[in-house]
Amino acid sequence: INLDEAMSALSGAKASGQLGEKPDGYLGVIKSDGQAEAIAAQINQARRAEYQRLASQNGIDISNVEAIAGKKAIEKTPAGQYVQINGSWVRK
Amino acid sequence: CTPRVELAMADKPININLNVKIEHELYIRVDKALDSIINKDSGLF
Amino acid sequence: TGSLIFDGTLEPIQLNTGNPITQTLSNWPKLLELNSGRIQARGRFELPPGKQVKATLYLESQGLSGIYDRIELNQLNSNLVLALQNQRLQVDLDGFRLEQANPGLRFGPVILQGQYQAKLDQPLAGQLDIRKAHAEVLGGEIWAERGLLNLAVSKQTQAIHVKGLDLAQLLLAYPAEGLQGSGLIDGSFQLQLENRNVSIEQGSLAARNPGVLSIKSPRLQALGKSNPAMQLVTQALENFHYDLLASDIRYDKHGKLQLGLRLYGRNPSLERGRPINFNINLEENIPDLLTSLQLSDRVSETIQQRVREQLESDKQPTQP
Repeated sequence: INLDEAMSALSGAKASGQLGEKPDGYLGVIKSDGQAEAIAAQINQARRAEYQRLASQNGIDISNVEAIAGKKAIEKTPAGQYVQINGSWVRK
Repeated sequence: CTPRVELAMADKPININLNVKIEHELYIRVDKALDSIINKDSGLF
Repeated sequence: TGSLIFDGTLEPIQLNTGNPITQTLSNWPKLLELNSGRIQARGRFELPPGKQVKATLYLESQGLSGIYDRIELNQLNSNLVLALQNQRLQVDLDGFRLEQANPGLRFGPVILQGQYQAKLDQPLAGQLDIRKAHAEVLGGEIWAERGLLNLAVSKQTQAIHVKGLDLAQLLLAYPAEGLQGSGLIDGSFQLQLENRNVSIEQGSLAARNPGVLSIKSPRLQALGKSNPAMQLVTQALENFHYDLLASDIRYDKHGKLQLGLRLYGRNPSLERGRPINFNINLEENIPDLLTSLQLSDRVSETIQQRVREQLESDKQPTQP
């Protein structure tokens, strides 16, 4: 699937507990049925590009951008969806 | 900040004066920039 | 005709989940969240016949941890004795030991010992006898010279000493990429206190021995390419062996730190190691520095949340 299809399927996949946010700023696959893997791959690739742009714009290492993004994504995940805390998936 | 540099004889020390002002909004800027990406309408989160 | 004595002991308050005290004391500082440890209080109230009332409160804390404003506090053990007698207030703090504080940079233990005396009608205009104020930080230590601070006058000065700060740890803690170095820093400065504002008018720091400083940041390199004089600076600083690293210190009450840095040495592989003397006026904003430290993952989630809220509210009024 391409990025646009992945973007439109993302919220459904998150709501149904297939995908969740990880502390490193990227999507994690919780249940790999349907197109969960494909969606995560497309979205994570687009995110990495964004993080790299921000990192080079500010002359800092991409890992710093990923760390701040991860914290933010987990914080903004609505109740009922999944986030990864210390390696295990937790429903907020 | 363009430093004033005197280049003189080989072993004489080079004197370099610098004015450095450290701007700290680096992390704050990245944090704010991420705010605009990490939301519903970016399609990535 | 014995005096009337009343001894009371408050049940030790166990703080493992919430903080029961906040429900009771209305003026509990709202930015103080305690989430573990024990507080114990014991009071003694005497009314000797024909004399003034004498009241003493013994307050003890064990393993107290939590957050005050933007500073994480871990394991505070302290005991404090507050005594009221013939219109005078005396506070004795002798066992204050905070294992670790983290306003963005972890340091500790912090040890305080002192005594405060004041007239009851002017509780904040008393005399503070600092017997010990010492903290370990960045592999070294920082302490206040023993002294008496008269809080009745508007301005106080307190000598502070620094010994053995490890430049390597300092540069690691600093929120910037590509900074490395070696060296132990000693020094002292005069802290000025003027109605709750802190400033430094004079002070000096210096590396104890020669050492190495290395700055390899992509942004600096980019600057170097665009400007030949800057090229020399960036190349020199990539591996700078200094013989002298010394600086004076000025800090104003708005948070601006100014260092008049002298960095004399050489880069062995640049111009056959020709000596280079840097005179650098370095300006840093400490509140911004702490904010950016607090925003990165060096501090707890609660503090980052407060920092963001603070940044949001700062922005509001100036928004056009």
